[in-house]
Amino acid sequence: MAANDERSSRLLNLVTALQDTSVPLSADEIRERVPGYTAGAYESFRRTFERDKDDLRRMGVEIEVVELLAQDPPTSGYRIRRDRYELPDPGLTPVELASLVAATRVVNLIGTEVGDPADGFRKLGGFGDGAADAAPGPVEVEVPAALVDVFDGVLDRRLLQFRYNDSDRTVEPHRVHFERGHWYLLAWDRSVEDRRTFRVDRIGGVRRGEPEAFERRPELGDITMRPWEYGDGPATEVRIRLDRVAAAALRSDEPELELLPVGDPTAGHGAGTCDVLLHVVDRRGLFHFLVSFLDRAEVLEPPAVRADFVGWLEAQCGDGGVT
Amino acid sequence: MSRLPAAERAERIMSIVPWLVTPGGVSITETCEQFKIDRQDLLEDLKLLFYNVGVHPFTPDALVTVFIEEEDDVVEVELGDFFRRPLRLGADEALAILAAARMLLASPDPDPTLQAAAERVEAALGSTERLVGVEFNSIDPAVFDDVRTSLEAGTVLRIRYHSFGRDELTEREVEPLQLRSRDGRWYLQAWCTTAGEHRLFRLDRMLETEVLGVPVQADRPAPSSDPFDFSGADRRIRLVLAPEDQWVATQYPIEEERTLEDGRTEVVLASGSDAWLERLLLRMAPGTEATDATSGAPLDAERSEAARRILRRYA
Repeated sequence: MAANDERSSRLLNLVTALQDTSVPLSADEIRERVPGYTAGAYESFRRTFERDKDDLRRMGVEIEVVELLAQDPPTSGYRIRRDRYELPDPGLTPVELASLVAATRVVNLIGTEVGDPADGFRKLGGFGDGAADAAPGPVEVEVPAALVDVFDGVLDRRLLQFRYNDSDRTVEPHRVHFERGHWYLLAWDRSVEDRRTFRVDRIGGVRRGEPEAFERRPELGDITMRPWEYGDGPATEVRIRLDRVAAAALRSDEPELELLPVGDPTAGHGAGTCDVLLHVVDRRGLFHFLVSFLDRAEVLEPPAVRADFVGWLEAQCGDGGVT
Repeated sequence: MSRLPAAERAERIMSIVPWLVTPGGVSITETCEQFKIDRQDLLEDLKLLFYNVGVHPFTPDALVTVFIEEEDDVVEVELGDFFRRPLRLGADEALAILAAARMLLASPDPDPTLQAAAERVEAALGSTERLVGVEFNSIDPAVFDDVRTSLEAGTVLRIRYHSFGRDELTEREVEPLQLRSRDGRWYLQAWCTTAGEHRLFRLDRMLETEVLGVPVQADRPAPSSDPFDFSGADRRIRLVLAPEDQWVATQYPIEEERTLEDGRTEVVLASGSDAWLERLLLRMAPGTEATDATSGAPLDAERSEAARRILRRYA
């Protein structure tokens, strides 16, 4: 048998041996049961076995190590847990498979860690058939380096430890979310016992814990990325007036916000002017957001926030002051 | 026939074989089409499984049974208690498939078939919760329709457009070339007859659109290869960042970055239009120094002029 065939066979037989058994197998038992391990010295078996375990882990087959206390002396036992190995049949129709395949063709995820969707489609039942809806055009999205590790935590419910803004975090990762050009992680932060949103491109040094380490929390709700809503303080209701162009931009950026038309919408000058009420927690975030509209937006109420914004702008006018 | 590394071949076998276990067998030709695998490769994989794979003690009943009837184009596989289901999706594969689906589903006219498919994949991954969320800037469906219609018909499109960078509202006639999306926004790449060059227009900044019956002209010059490359902008801005403005280094495309002796960060970035620069300057903390990278002149005048213009609304 060619060396290549021999390695493929050995990996497959290792999986069948660990799936077929009801109790974890010791290294000696594995050596006995898997053809390809029997020949050669014990040390070379251990080396080959370790490499095979790594190969299998890379393809998603997790080999669990448990202590076999019944043995004397206690020794390590190995097994593959079926519920961790198996993908339930998603029941995709050929047309649904084809639509997923078409989606991966037009969407270009730019990043080094992104997987080959073809490997996934073979597991899901193939590449399907039928004409998928024509996509409107190519879609390009950058994928930060940490995203795959973070998503692995989401999928398998693993605790994640990482560096973020110069501090160490331990979190339950619940969902990844893409908005306005950035990937976010919605998580329960165990260090502060509260929900937190993290920018994935600022996450560094990810360490993943064991699978199934926490329960999903449906109550975490949606991710907040509105700059004026960051933080934990009390919220103030602020009324902002927007001209037609600014209102159109906000309607597109924040479709959930309700825009209140002001005055006669058919009137010539000022047509399309709208007010919006924002629940502001972070005043600096509000100011940064407001200047994106330059002089197309105005703080109307309450007077304290209006005065605060005016003061913030006056401080930027230099020695000349307001003219 | 293709030679795969041993581990990848084992993975391919573990992925495909569970789908072949059907009483009466499956068609070899259809299986090859379904899984995009060469006929020879499939038969070699199955022979390897048949001759070499099973469980201890490898008596005939502990082996994989494979019947290949080439003449009838049928293969039948019987397994022991293993390989009954395919491997779980790796996080990288699941992300590649789900993110692609969610990106397209965030467009203004999502395909219901794709929607159902994405939900089935998420369910198979063991979650009733959404694992990948995607939100694009929302686009007026009428605008999206007009853009697609003019693209398909090859006709001129009139747009009322808010250039966010310049903060200008203009009316233009454009010849659509391609619709594309980058980092969560939809753009129309088009020949702008007003500017006399290729431009990118954000669909979420088109206030009104009208499809004109006029066909586009065939003899326009070819567009540059990467329409998203803005490095040609001519003005460079130098910022010495106060600690609270450190976010600038991650938020904007920085061309140069270095740490000064006093520990502060200095960055150089290509400036967009005047309105773009004004927004940036207004957001900087008092401790940040902003200068024109070429002349070295401070940008205080630009900043205070922008602040004064906004303050006029409050007079």
